[in-house]
Amino acid sequence: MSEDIPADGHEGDGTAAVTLAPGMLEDLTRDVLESLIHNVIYQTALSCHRTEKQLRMQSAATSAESLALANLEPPSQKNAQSTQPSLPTAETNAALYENGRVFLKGNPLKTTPEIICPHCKLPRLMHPIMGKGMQQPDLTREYCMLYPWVQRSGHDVYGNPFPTDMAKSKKERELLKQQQKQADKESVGTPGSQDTDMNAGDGTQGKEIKLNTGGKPASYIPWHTCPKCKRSLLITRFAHHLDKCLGISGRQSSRAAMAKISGVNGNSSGVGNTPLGSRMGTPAPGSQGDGPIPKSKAKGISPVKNLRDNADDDEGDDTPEKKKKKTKSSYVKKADREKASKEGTPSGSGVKIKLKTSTPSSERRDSNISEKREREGSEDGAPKAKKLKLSIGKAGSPPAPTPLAQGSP
Amino acid sequence: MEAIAKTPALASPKLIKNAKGAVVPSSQMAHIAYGCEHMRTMIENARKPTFGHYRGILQKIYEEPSVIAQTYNSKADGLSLISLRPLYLCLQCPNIMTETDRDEHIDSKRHIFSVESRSGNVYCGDCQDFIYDPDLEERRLQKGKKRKYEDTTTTEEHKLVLNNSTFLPCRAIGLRGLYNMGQTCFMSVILQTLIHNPFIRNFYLSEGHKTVDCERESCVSCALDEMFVEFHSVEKTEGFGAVNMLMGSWLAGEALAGYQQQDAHEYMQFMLNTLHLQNGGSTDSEDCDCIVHQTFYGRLSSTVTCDNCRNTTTALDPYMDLSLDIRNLPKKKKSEAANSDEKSIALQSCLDRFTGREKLGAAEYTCQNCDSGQNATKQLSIKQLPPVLPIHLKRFEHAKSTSTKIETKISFPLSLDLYPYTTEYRSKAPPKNVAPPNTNHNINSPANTLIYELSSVVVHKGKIDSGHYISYSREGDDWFMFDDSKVVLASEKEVLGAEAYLLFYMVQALEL
Repeated sequence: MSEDIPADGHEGDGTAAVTLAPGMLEDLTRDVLESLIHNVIYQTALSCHRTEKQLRMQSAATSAESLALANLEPPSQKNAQSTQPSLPTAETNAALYENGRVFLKGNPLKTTPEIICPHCKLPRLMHPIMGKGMQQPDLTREYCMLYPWVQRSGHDVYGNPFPTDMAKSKKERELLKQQQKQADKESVGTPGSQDTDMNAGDGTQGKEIKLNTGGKPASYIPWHTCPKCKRSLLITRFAHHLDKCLGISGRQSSRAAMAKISGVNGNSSGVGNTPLGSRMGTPAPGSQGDGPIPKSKAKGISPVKNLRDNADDDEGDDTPEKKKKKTKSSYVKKADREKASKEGTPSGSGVKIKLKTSTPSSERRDSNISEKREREGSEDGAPKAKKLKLSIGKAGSPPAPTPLAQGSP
Repeated sequence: MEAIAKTPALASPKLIKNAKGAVVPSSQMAHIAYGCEHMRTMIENARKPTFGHYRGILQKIYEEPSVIAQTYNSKADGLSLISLRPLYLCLQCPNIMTETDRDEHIDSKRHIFSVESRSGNVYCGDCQDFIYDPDLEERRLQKGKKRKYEDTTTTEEHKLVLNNSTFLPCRAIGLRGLYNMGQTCFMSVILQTLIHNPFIRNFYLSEGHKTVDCERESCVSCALDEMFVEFHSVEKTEGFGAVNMLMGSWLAGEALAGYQQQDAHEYMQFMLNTLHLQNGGSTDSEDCDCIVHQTFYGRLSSTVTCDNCRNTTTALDPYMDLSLDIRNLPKKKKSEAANSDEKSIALQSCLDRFTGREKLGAAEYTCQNCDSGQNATKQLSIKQLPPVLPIHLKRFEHAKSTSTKIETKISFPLSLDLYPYTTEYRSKAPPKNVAPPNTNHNINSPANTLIYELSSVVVHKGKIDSGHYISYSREGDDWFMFDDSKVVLASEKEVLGAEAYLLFYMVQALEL
C-alpha cells in the first residue's frame, strides 16, 4: 500500500516524450490493476460487513430491550393505572438498555452471534430449511418466521412445492386426496395440515416446533367465489368463468352463463337445453406455465369426452341429473376440507360416511349455503383488517423506506 | 459502488407489539444510541465538532474532486502521493493516511476515529473495526448534505400508532405468486412489478387509496389495495387469486376483457391510466400529482429542423414508458450484419437510435416557414425523467395480416446512465458515443450522469400466439422470479440473460 504508483504523477503532467525505464510500464500496469481489484474486493467485503454488523447491532439491542421489558412486565400488569413505572433497564453482555436507549458494549460481531428479529424478537434461522445450503436447526427453539430463502428445484423461496395438479380433473384430485388421507392416517404429522401446526406452535414451549413453509401441499388449488354470481369455483378456471359470467365474449355465451347461474341457484331445472357447443373442455394446461391453449382448441373438446371425464367445475350445461351428482360430490369435498381445518386432524372416516349416506337434499342445500358464506367471510376477513395501514394523515412518511425508496416524496 | 448504501430489505413495514402481546415498548425497534462505546464518549463530549468535521469529510468525498481525498503525504520523504486504494481521513485532524499510517496515528495521537476515503465509513481504532453509528450513518447516506426532510411524528402520534396497530407476520414482505386464472399471466407480471415498486407500495401501504371511502364499483385501485394488504399482512405464502383485479380490469377496459391472451405492455398502459383516473387524476390535465404521474410521468422533446430554412419546431410529449425499436439497424447491415445478427443488441444502442437524428422526407413534413413540404431532421430526447422508467422493447411486429415476434437478444445493464439521452445533453453535444464529461471530477457523485438501476424485468417466452409471461423483481439485493403462483430466488446472471420485453429502471437516488 505504501508503493502507491509513484510514477502516476509524472506520467500525468509529462508533455511529450516521457521515456519510461524498461519494465516501468509493466510495473505500473500491474500496480493499477492490483489496486482496482483490491478496491472491488474491499467494497464487496465492506458492504457485507456493514449488513452483518448492523444486524448484530440490532440483535444486541433487541435482546437487551426484551430483557428490560420482561423485567418490567409484572408491575405494569398488576397496576395498569400507575402512571410512571420505574424506568426499564437491563444489561446483557452485549448491550445496556436504559429507558428506551441502547448502548452497545464491545463489538457486536463478537458478542452477538445470533440474529434476533427486531419485530417478533425471536431468533432468525441462519440457514435454509431445505435445498442449497440447508442445515437442520435446533427444533426445540422457536424462530422468526422469516426464514432464509430456499433454493431447491421444484420449490418456491419458502420451501413449498410447486403446485402440480392445476390441470388435473376433479376426479383425479379427489382420488389423490383420498390417498393423502389414507397416508395421513397411517403416519400422523405429515404435511397437509401445516396450517394447524402453525397455530399450535404459538403457545407451546419446550415442545419440538415444526418448521413451517406457510404454503399448501402441491395438490392444493384454491377456490374462489365469483364476485358476480357468487358461485364458488377453482381459481384456475376463473378467467374462463368470468368471461362468460360477465357476458364478455358475446351474447351467446352470456346467455349460456346466465342459464347456468340460474340453474345453480334455482332448482337446477331447464339447464339441459343449452347447446353443447358452448361447453368448454378441460382446464387450460397453461396454468402450468406452458402458456394457455387458444380458445378455439378448448372449444373443440368433444362433449362425450367431457361427460365421461366429469372434467371440472365450470360445467353447468350438463343434464340436471349430472348436476346433482356433482353438487353432491363437491359438497362432500368442501365439508371434508372444512372439517379438517376445524379439527386439525385428518379424518378420513367422517368423509366416508358422508359419501355413502344420502343426505336429504334440503339439509344439504342449507349447509351448502352456510359454507359458502363462511368461505366468503374468511376470504374477506383478512384484507378487511388492514392491519398495517396507519391513518395518521402523513402521506409524506412512507412506512417502508426500502433503500431505494429512501428519498421518495 | 453504491451497493454499500443498500440495506437488505428483509423487514417489511411493521408495527410492534410484545411477543406475548403484553407491554408495548415506546419504540418500534430497539433504538441504538451510538455505533460503539468509544463513539459514545466522543459524541457525548464533543457532539458539534464531531458532526461538523464528519460532514466536512463527507463533502470532500462526495463533492470535491476525488483526487483530494486520495492524496496523502508520504512519511518517508514528505512527497504528496496519490493512491488508488482507500485512504483514511482522521476525524479529529486534517490528516489523510494510508492504512498503516492510520494505525500508527491512532497509537501516537490517540485520534482513534478515521473515515475511509471511498464511501465515508467510520473506522474505530479501539474497536479495530468499522462502526456504523446511527447518526453518522444517516449523514453518510445523505452524502453530507443538509437534511431538509424531518420526521415530524410526535410522541402523541407515535402512541396512537402503537395503540392502534397489531403485530404483522415477519414473513409477509410481499413475496407471493399470483395464480393463473386462465391466460392471465400478462396481468400477473404487471401486477408483480407494481407490487414491487417502492413508490406504489409506499402509497398503498400508507392508506393512499382508502377502500373504505371508495365508492366505485369494481375499482381497480381498490383491488390493488387489497393485494397490498394481502401481501404485506397475511402469513400465507401460497399464491393469491387476483379475482377482484381481473373483474375490475375487465369492467374498466373493454379492449382487454375476455378469456384470451393479452399484451402485457398494453395491460400496463391500461393499468397506469386506470390507476391515474381512480386516484384523483382527470383525463385532460397534464400536470397531475397522482401517484401514477409522480412515479411514471415524463416528457419527451421532439425537435424538427427544416433542412431548407433551418427553422426549428419543438414539441413536448408526455410519456409513461419508452417504446424502443429493436429491429436490426438497417444502415449498418453491410459492416455489422455478420456480427449483429448473431450477437445481442445493447439497450444503450436502442436508446441511441431512439434519440438519434432521423431524416424526414418532403412528403412527411411541411415547414410552416417555407410553407411547403421540405426535407427535415427530427430528433427525440428526454426532457423529463420519471423516478421509475418503464422501457418497452418492441418485440411484436404487426404487419398487415400477420404478427411476428422479434427474438433478438437485447442486453441490458443493471445500472444505466440516462444522461446521454436527455435534451440537455443531446441539444449541445451532437457527437455520438462520446460520454459526457465528468466536470466535478468526483467518482462518487459524478457530474453529468443520471444513474438508474434495474428494478424489474418482464419476460415473454415462446411464440407470439402461445407464449407465457414471467417477471423478475428486485427486493433489496435479492432478485426473485415470479412465474404465476411460483416465486423463486434468481441470480443477477439469470435476470440479465432473460428475453426481456419490458424493463423497469428506477432512479438510484432522489434528492429531497
